[in-house]
Amino acid sequence: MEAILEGISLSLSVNALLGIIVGVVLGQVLGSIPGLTAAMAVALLVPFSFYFDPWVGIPMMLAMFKGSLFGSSIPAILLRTPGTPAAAATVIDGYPLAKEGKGGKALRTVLFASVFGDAFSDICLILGSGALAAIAIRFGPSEYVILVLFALISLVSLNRGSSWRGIVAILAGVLIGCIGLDPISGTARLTFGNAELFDGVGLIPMLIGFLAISEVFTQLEQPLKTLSQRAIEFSKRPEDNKLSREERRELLPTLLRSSMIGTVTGALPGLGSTVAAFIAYNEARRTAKRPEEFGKGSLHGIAAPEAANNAVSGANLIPLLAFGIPGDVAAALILGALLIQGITPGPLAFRDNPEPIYAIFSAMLLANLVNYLVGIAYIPLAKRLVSVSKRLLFPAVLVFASAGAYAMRGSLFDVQMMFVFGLIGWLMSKFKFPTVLLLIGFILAPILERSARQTLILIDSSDGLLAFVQSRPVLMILLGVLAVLAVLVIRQQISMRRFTDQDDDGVMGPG
Amino acid sequence: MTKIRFAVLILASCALFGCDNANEGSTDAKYPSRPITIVVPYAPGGGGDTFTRAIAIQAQEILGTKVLVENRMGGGATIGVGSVARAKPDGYTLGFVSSSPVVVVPNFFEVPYDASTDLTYLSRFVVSPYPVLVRGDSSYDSFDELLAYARENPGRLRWSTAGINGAPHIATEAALKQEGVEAAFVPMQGSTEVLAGLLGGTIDMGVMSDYAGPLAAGDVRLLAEIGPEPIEGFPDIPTYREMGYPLAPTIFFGMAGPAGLPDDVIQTWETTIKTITESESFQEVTVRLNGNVTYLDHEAFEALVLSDIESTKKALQTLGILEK
Amino acid sequence: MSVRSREAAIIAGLLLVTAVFGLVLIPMGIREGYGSSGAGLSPRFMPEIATMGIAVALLFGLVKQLLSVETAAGAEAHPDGVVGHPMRAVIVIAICLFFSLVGFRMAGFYLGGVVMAASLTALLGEREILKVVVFPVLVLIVIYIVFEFGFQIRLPKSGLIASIPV
Repeated sequence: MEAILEGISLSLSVNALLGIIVGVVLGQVLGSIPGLTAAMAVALLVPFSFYFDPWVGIPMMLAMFKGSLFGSSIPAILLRTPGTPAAAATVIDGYPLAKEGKGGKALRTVLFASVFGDAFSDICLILGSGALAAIAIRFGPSEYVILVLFALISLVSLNRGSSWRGIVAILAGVLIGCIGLDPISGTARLTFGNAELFDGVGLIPMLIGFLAISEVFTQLEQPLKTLSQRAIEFSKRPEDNKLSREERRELLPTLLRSSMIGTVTGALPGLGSTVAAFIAYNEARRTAKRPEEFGKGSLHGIAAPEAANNAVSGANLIPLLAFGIPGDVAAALILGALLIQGITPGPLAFRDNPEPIYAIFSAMLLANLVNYLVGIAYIPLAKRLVSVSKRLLFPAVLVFASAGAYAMRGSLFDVQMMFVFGLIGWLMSKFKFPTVLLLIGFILAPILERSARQTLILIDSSDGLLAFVQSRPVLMILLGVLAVLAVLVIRQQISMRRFTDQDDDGVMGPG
Repeated sequence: MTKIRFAVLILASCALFGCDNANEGSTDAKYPSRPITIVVPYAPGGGGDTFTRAIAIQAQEILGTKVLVENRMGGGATIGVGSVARAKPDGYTLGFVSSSPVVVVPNFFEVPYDASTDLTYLSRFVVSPYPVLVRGDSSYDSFDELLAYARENPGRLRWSTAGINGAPHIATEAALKQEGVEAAFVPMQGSTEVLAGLLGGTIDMGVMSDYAGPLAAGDVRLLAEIGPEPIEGFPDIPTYREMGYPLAPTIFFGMAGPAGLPDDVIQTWETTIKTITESESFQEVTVRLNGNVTYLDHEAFEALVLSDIESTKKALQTLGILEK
Repeated sequence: MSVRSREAAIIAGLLLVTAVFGLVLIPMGIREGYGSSGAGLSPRFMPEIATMGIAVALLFGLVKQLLSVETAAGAEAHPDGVVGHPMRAVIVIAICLFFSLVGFRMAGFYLGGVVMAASLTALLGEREILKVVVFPVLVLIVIYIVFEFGFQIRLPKSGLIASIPV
């Protein structure tokens, strides 16, 4: 108890507060520029964290991540170009709402959902990290196969266009995901001697290229007169620029469900916030009272992915604090910083040196509040920033994205890839192939392939398939759940198809 | 109208590109006279990056010039090392090197450099222990017991390590082969996955370096060290060299530059790195990142790298992983 | 050409690309029986399955297209509901690719970036010379501050003018 109070007082020191504020501001600004991710900025902070106290440096990094997740939704909503991959799902309902002039309302929804998701997963982390991590650690390759299959089954239903186009897009993503060194044998696949491709196609050039750049290309086709206008107009009416109390209350069930999805996804290493956002969006639509609003500016469709992707950021620390296993890149960076500080994450950290950990916890909760306040101040500024004409704004987006793509690996090759993917994405949307499904294939296929091939080796080294399944209780449970869910999804698919028969292009639109 | 404007723009850009002969700065008498760049072939925030930045910050003070760190990742660290090998040997472009891209990777892929002739190895500053681990509640108390189990149950011992075809993987394969043990290697990516697999019961044996946290918590135990030297504080843990296995690789971190660096540059960096490795703050960082500070000067480091390259190649051939 | 036959031609083209990929590029680009691979699937398994799946889906699409009733052309519908000028997008893409392939390397990121942004702005119909020049310069100054000072990331330099580090 004393340690907890000590921790809280540490996190309230001037330096710690300053760190949080600087982190949130930087995160929101960086996140809102396509191509720049908070992971990049935090990575460069790691070596300097040696010079900060742990309760200053670590909360600053966490605050940066939280800020960037909100920041990246701003261009997703206002310009249809997500700042980071995690905001890809926010585009689907955010942009249509902003088109109606209700960009202010959309941004307020995002901010509310982001902070809600953050706070939810932070509380889960603080109260239940031990228990959650004990379950998460039982997930091996065979369990991941089931999980990813489940994610694929549920995400395919995001596609409302012609089903063969969706399948082509997903499998094209799978193929791009195969490029690089084979995860099992280590042989080079489809690199054709190019060493830049050994580590695979970069996620950032891929996602920014397909989501942001291709969209810029499409927008630039507009008549010159349109391009001289502002990118987006905002309604002056106050009710279009805020989120009323009733609306907040109505969003609560969606927020809770999405935050839980995000927390579970985050506790399992390797899945990531983009996947969580799409699953949450899909769940929100599945359970919605008015599913026909989705894709046309539904507040639930904005809140669900945002709550989920922010919830991932806190939950990523669950396996880190319990076992020293980072859930994603962000958590890996935090691990590096903790090690430099002389804190080795794990159960011992709580016993031997608990004050900094409690200080970090309390600073995380504080960062959510700061994120909310800074966000409120940033929204009007962001609205003003995008109110230059399109012909000035979009070239700037292209140059910023080039800088960001270069900076990830210090490679012009990534900039070239980004524009090539932009070109492919532009062509795909011309011919109504859903780019988002391609990205989902690209993200999930490598996890699926690696886990499936590892599982085969594991089965090979046990006494047959049955003995293997029996040795893994979590796998048995998952297999049962998967069977039930598959039936449910298929049944719903059939009823939904009857429902939206008229609207063939549906939610995902041509993009 | 638009066309004319465009032509002007294109002309203007051509004029810019025309005078591309970079002004490389005259060769002053005293090194260093302008900012030095250290290329890190790994991601920002990783171990290699953190060490290099720790060195750069101190080197900046000692040398009295800016020392910049540039991350050029990709290709299993070969792209960054390649750009150092191709740089002008004036001492203003240097690089961080670790064992993998110079000793191991060139055996498997065509790399844009010859590790034994295209690089000047300035000094080594850290070696990283790389032990064989089992779960804390595992019933094996020694490496021998583990091997005995594997011998009785061929193909049942599941193990993994962070890099496929990396030095720890090859060395352990060689060791198991010499012991006549048949084990199931489960390829994994990164020490994170190996640790999760070990703790979650997917594998029984892991070979990895980031073990301090779980070791302190009692989640894992050390059974052996793959390198030639015992791990500090664990004199009883046998090493691959003691057990007489064909490969006992050192996982080293050092500094290198392109071939043909002038002597004064080599000497400047030898003394600079020596001073830094003796400093308390660098030693503190190293301990926290699980390394041992072990300085080697230019000559000794180069000899070590060259002999490692030879022995690794030979071992790969005798193992049948590489054709002769 | 009618919309239907145009679509069918595109699908047929994609089928051809898929066939080349599956029959030529995959066998060429992935070596089998390599390294210390133990049990499990071949490294070609996943790409081959995916390519076959694409081919089947495209065939399905082709058949569906050929059987479908001719409908009024509703192509190129952007959510903003405007008729596009695809040629302009092609020029923009060409400019972007030119700078990423050649321009940034020769002129450095900062000079190249200014020229790129300025030429795009001009192409998109901005006629005030002040805006065409000043705005890109401002953008690149912001990038310079953010990257070189904030992140300590160095973007490619040309060394055209030795005294100014751009």
